[in-house]
Amino acid sequence: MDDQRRLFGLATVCVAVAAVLLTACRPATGEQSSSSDPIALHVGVPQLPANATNGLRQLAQNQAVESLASVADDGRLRPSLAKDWRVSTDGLTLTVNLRSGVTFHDGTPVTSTIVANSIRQTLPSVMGTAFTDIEDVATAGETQVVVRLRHRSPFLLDALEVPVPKPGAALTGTGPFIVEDQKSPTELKANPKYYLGRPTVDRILVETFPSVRTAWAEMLRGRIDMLYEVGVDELDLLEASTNVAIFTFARAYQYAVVLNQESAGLRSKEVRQALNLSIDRDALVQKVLRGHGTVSFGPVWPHNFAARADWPVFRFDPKLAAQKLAQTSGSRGDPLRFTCLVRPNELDERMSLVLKQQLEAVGIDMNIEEAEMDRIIDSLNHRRFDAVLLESPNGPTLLRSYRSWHSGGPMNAHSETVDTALDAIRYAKSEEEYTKAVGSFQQAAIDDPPAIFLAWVERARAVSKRFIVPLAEPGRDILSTLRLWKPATDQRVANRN
Amino acid sequence: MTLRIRRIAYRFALLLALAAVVPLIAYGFVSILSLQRGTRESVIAGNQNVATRAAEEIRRYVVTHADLLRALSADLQDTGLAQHQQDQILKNFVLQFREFREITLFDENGATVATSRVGKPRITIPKNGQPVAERVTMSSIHVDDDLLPTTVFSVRLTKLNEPSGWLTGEFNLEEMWRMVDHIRIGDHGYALVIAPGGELIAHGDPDKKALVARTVNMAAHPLMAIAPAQADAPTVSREYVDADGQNNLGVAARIAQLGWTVIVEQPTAEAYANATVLQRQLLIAISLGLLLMISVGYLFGRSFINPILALKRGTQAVAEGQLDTRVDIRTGDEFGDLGDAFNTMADRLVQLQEDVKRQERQTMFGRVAAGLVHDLSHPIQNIGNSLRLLERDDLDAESRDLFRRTIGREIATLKRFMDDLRHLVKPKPIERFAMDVTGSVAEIVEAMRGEAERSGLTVETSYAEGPLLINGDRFALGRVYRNLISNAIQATEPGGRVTVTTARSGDRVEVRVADTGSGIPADRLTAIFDDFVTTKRRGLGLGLAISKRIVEQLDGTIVVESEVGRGTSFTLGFPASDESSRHAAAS
Repeated sequence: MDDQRRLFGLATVCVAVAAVLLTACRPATGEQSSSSDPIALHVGVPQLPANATNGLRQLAQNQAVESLASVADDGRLRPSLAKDWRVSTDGLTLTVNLRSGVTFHDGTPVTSTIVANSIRQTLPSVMGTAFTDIEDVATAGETQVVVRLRHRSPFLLDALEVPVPKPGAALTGTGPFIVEDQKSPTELKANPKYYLGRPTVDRILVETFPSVRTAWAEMLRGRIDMLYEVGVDELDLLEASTNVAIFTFARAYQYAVVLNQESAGLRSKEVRQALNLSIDRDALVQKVLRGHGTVSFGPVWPHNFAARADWPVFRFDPKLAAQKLAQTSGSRGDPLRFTCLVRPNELDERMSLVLKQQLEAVGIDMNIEEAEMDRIIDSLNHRRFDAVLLESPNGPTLLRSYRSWHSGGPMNAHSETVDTALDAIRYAKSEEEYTKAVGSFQQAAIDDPPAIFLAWVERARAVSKRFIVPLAEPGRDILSTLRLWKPATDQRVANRN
Repeated sequence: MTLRIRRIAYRFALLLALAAVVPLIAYGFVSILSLQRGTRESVIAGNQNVATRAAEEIRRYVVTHADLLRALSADLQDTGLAQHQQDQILKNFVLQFREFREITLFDENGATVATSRVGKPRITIPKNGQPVAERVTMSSIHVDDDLLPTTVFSVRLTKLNEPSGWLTGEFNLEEMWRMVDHIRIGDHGYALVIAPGGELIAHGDPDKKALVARTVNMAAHPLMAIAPAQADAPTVSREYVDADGQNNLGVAARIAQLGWTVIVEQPTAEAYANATVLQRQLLIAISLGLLLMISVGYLFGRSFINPILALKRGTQAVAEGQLDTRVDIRTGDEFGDLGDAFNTMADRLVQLQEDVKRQERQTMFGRVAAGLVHDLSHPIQNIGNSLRLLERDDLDAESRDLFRRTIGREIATLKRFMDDLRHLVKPKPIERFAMDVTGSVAEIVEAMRGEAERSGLTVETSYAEGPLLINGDRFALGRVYRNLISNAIQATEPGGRVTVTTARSGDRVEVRVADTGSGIPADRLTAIFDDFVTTKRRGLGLGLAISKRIVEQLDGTIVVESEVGRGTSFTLGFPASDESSRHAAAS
């Protein structure tokens, strides 16, 4: 019996050894630990002097100051600080109901009086010349703001995306994060009293870098958790990484060459049409943006609810462009020459070089001149330019298009045709009328183009996989969900912050 | 611990395992070793091939772009182009070849003639470059404003054999990364490119690009120390543990023209994955084979020893007295013959047992008959003699009375003999009462004293003081005492002595009957209490057997001590009765 037991024991050992051999390659499970260290998010922002928008301030404002409403990808509005709103039947009164119980970062309750004062200050910059449509901004009770109009204007609803800072403190709002220092908004902390819940991330530490490439290199080095903007050149190199997640979204920022219709060579509509017809936008998107963009055939954000796919657009037609140019140059046959101001960054430089190449193919000589943003703005304001290559916000709402392309806007365009079309949108009395007017605006941009419309640029943000990022609505920036970000389960990695 | 295999089945299993599996294991071991070596050599050869091709691709990539820049210089030089035209060519070239971030044409004095940049040029004329193509040099790897490694190509321009300027191009190493990214082995095998100074230029692993950004120096890489210096030298390979603790198989190939080293590394787990799978399959096959062989051996062994086991069981049964046991072995071989022999042997044993029983019965009958004749003949003869004498008329009254007593005594002897036989066949039930042992012993001693004295013996007594109470059967015990004293008288020669004592020993009461007789040989002591066993020349040998049975029925013990020539003593022991019984007995 003992021998039998010994033999079975021997067999068991054999089987056990075999089992060990067979399972020897099983990976070990990682251990997890927890920590109560504050969760910090390091954000790298390229601080380009040539940028139209200051990334650092934009990020701070985005997280600290909320708007009455947020704009969806289709240009429609969603309630934010405003609980809801109502337009009177005559269309001349807009009543906005505010959320109750909301406070500013300094503890001041959000009241209709404060909001009314705030938007009285911010609405002019948001609405531009359309602000003249507003008769007054008043209050009704603690939570109602009443805006009275001189005449109907759908732009007032678009203007509800106006940020509502506390008067006198541009970066003090009701958002999920609090800016520590208003002058140097490099550090944000979680708003513990945020009405939708305290953010998981305790602090956001923003570091600026002189270029997109420098910020990207810092991301590679693992010194920052989020790259505010990933350049198109670096996007492919980061996409393969298992440590970094790339989030792309179609941004309603449009690359366009703004044309000065008072410039000698660009007065003719036919010339400006010829310029638009000369551009192979698909090649442009591929060569310059490495495919991270959408061709742009007009000034209207293609995802806007009023946009239509069957609108007339500028197709790449160099022959037709050459014909139009030949018609306009007359017997002299002088080639068209103009100078385009370009911001000093690699992407704009490359974009302008490709444009120059394409225009040269139809006999247009575009001289490229590098210019700082201040000079460009000054040139636009004083109409001392032929053309300017810009990337500007032209959507998702038509209010932004109106501000860009109506006379008196930052582009300082002067086209009666375009102005008329934009005014038709501004005074539309119904959605049908509004949609029709938007179509007219597109047609006007074809007939009397104020710019060479090039492309809508896809933006990308890179976030270390140390953080779990909930997906935003389709087409929306992931920063809209920043308050919901949380460290990945593996606390050992997350706490390296 | 020594493993002792006693069972034949296990021995067979082990034998088969050793005979069949050991060669199998040896074969497996050799196969695995051969597989490992073969796989390693094959993988290394494959990776060396990849590294060599990768090095060649990278060399060609770099040199091609150096040649492109040289070709561009030819387009710019001595062609009568205006500055703006040269400018345009450079811009178009940069658009066409993204690998160049910037190209600038300098005159001999270092002044900018034309540049691909819209603004001012960023690069300067590099010094001490390494030649990579005809008239083209490449600067050493340096870190640019964005803290990323970069390099600059320079084409020396000449006019009428005199130096006339430089065409410089900043070569975009990040663009080269894309090419290096495409060099893959398996899922986790990547290539990396290291500059002569140890600067990491490119890494194919997306997660290791950070090392480039951190400007990590790779001079200490395990392969750098043994990387070949010459381009035509064979590639080198080795296994090592990287900074992440992962075992890698690395192969290095040198690009002599550039001074760069291309390393292709792959986790060994992946590199040898196929061999590991094959090895595992082989191990499983060997294990299964081992188990199969052991099982077959065990089953075969079992079938082999089944007849032996049957014979073993039969033998054991016969040994236990089951003489009707037979074995059924129909193997038709020697085991079958052995089974038949066993059955024959068992038949013969039964026959022999019957014979022995018959002889025993005959012996017993003879002995019983002889005993009966002996025990009965003497009293009957006495009775007969006494009756014949009584019939005589000349007897006086005293003699007549003597003969009548003799007849009465002999009849009593016959009656006791009959009682003994009856008791043997059907023992009388014991009836317990409190009784005084000393009193009952004294009665019997006194009754037999005359007989002893007639035999020329002295009877000595030693009784305990006071009563010795037990729960006993006075009449049954009387028979026991009488048997023991009678045996003592018969075993003792005239002049001898019979001693009877009673005593209390703890909670027990003892009665001892000793004589100075011939004694009992030691080899017969154990059998004296058996039926029909006696040391006397006459008698059935029932007295001691009956006495022992009575004593044990009364929870007593009987112990015999004897020495040949010196005498024998029997000691009876009984549990003493309690105080209440004592009082009862006294009353």
